[in-house]
Amino acid sequence: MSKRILIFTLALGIVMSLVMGGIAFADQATSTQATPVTLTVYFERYDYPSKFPELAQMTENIVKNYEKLHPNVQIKLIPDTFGEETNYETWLTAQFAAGTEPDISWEQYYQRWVEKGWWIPLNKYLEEPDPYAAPGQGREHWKDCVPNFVWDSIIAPDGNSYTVDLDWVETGVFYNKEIFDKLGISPNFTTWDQFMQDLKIIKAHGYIPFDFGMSGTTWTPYQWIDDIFTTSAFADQVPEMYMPKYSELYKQTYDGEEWRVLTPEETAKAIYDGIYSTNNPRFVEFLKLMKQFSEYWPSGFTSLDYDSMLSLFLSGKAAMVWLGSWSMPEIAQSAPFKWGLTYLPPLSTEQIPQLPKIFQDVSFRVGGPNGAAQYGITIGAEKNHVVSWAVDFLKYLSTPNTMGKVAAASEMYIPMIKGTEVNPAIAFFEKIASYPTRAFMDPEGRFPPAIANEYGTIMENYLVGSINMETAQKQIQEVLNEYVKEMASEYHYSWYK
Amino acid sequence: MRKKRYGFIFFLIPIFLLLVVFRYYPLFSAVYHSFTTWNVISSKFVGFQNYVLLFKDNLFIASLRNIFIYILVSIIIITVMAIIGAELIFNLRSKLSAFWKYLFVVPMIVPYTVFILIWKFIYNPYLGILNGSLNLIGLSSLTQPWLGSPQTALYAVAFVGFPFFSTAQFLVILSSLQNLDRSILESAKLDGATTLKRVFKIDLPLIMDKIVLIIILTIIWNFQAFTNFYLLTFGGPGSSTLVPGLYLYQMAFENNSMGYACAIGVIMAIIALILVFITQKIEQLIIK
Repeated sequence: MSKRILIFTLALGIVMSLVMGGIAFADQATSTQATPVTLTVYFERYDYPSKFPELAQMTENIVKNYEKLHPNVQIKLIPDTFGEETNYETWLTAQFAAGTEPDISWEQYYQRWVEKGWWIPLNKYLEEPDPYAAPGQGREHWKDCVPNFVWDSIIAPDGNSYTVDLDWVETGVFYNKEIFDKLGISPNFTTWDQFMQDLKIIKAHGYIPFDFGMSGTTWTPYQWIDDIFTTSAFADQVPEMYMPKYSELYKQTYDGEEWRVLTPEETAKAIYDGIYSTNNPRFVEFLKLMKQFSEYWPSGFTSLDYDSMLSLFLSGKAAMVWLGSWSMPEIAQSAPFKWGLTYLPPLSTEQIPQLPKIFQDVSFRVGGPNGAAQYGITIGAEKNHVVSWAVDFLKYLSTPNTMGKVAAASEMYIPMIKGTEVNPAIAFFEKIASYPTRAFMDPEGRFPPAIANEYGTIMENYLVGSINMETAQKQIQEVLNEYVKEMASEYHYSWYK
Repeated sequence: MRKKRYGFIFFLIPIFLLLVVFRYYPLFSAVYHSFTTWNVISSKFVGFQNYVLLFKDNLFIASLRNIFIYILVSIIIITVMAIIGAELIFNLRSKLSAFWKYLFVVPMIVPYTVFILIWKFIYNPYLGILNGSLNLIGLSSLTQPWLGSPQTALYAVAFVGFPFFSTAQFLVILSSLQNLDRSILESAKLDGATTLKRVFKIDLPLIMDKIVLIIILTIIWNFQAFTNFYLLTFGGPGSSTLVPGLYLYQMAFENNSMGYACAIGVIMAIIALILVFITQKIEQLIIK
């Protein structure tokens, strides 16, 4: 009898301890408000005290206000000390390997696609109400904090959203006013042919017409020109590439026609269907345009990275440089000459015979969700049972008074949070943001990194003359086929037979 | 009879543990993970798949070709320059010889990254010293985008550090010369041997084992080359300066293909071992 009681007591004890343990390990946000919670957060440029002290102060104040609102929550900030993005990637990988990753972290949205299992999908949380949204803003769900085109741009190949994107990068061509005035060139380029003529004049006077680089340690504008030329060349066929399931989700138009960024699955299907193919005459036009434009880039452009490009422009040797909105503070501070902002002119049927009429008078914009406010929740938050708090904190950040204000004050990015006032200092970039979007993403975002790397290598070889156009076509087609095969086997696309 | 003492083992244990944790564990972990698709948080055993893919990978093949050229060029220029530099110092019969020796060695304390970035500036096609100097002396036709042209980029990286006097190889050769038996050198002098004749007939044969050593060291160090390629070209233009170390990094930290990166690392280690083995065999043949 006593043995039975002992066994029963032991069994009861085990069951109770399991139940209690389960409760203790349940997500702390759902258990009790008073449970102490620590969130570790990496904000990228918005918490970079040595370079942007004012922004870092604003971010820290937001964090303090959140902690006041939720006294049980302590937020540990990981300041940006990485300098280059590649250093950050290395650090983040090491953190995941060691199981010490932050709960919330910045990352380029497309990089999350290959970091499988590192990030948690946010879809179900995005449908939740947002307690921090001011009434009357039409924000029924958390996802309503930013416009639809933002979600469209960051959708992963598996259809999930792993990123909350609260700001936007836009681009502009910075030009040296003194060179332009000296040569009598107007920065208001109206046609591509005239633009080419102007580049020719600048080159003839011994200046670098269009400062450009392709070195891969950091980002370079090669990505953008590839977007614009590919989009322009295939513009008439892009509508065929859209898949109804994405059109229903993210319906967007330009001049009455459906027009948005192609999702990774749509790009893969376009290749599979033989539309986005190097055998398509449109691809040949793309390659020709690229080669033609590269004649006006600096000698040795493949070895120039972001810093080298900037130095070249600031040295007064280059007439123009195409950079992102984030470069404006640096140029404003360092340029020893008067400078201005302009943009690439639209292409026409002269260059692309099949270019649709609606795109003949307007340039494509290449800006995108690549700013400093691309935040995701890691599996670390899941392990630490703080996902609900991480979601809550991100919701808190998604308002005009929090990250909206920081993004606006940055003078580097366009705030995407609805209801945020745009800083007049970046009005030019806001104007560019109103242009139709490029349909093809940057190769870095269009393809997974290994494929993007191979593609970039072939394009470099083609542009420096190591391979001819036919070889480039053949090699790129092999890369595209490899991409489709990889994507289909990974995501089991139903259209792939 | 003296009693054997085993106390020393306790003193060796900490070093052995550190060796196991920081050297052997990563080595065996890399070999194991090279047979998996590992993305840092999870892995799946895939057998030899990574190795099969690797030998079909054009970029990896290109990286191997580049590294062999780079090693060959490096061996020639570093060894030759180390010998020239060491002989110059060794033959200097002046109170200033120590000063020159220090002058050659001091640049070694400059952090490697800073050193590489200085060379990046030297090679800059528009703002760099190299093209600037060529323009200044009327040799504008020789100016090049040194790192931006597929024809010159790999050699430009190999020439980083020229004239290579501030290298470990230089120090090895110099110390070997200083350890030569003075009586042999004096006899040669009495017999009327010129300095040049002595260098080729006496110095070099006597320090041949050290020359082979620096060749082995150059092979091992340069086969793992990463920083200079990462900072100067990142593998471009195209794949003309892509090397296995850089490709491994790209696969690991950009593509998150850690298993594939481990397979690259294992292949690199095997090739380095083979190269060292071949060099040692050559050394034995020469010494015989």
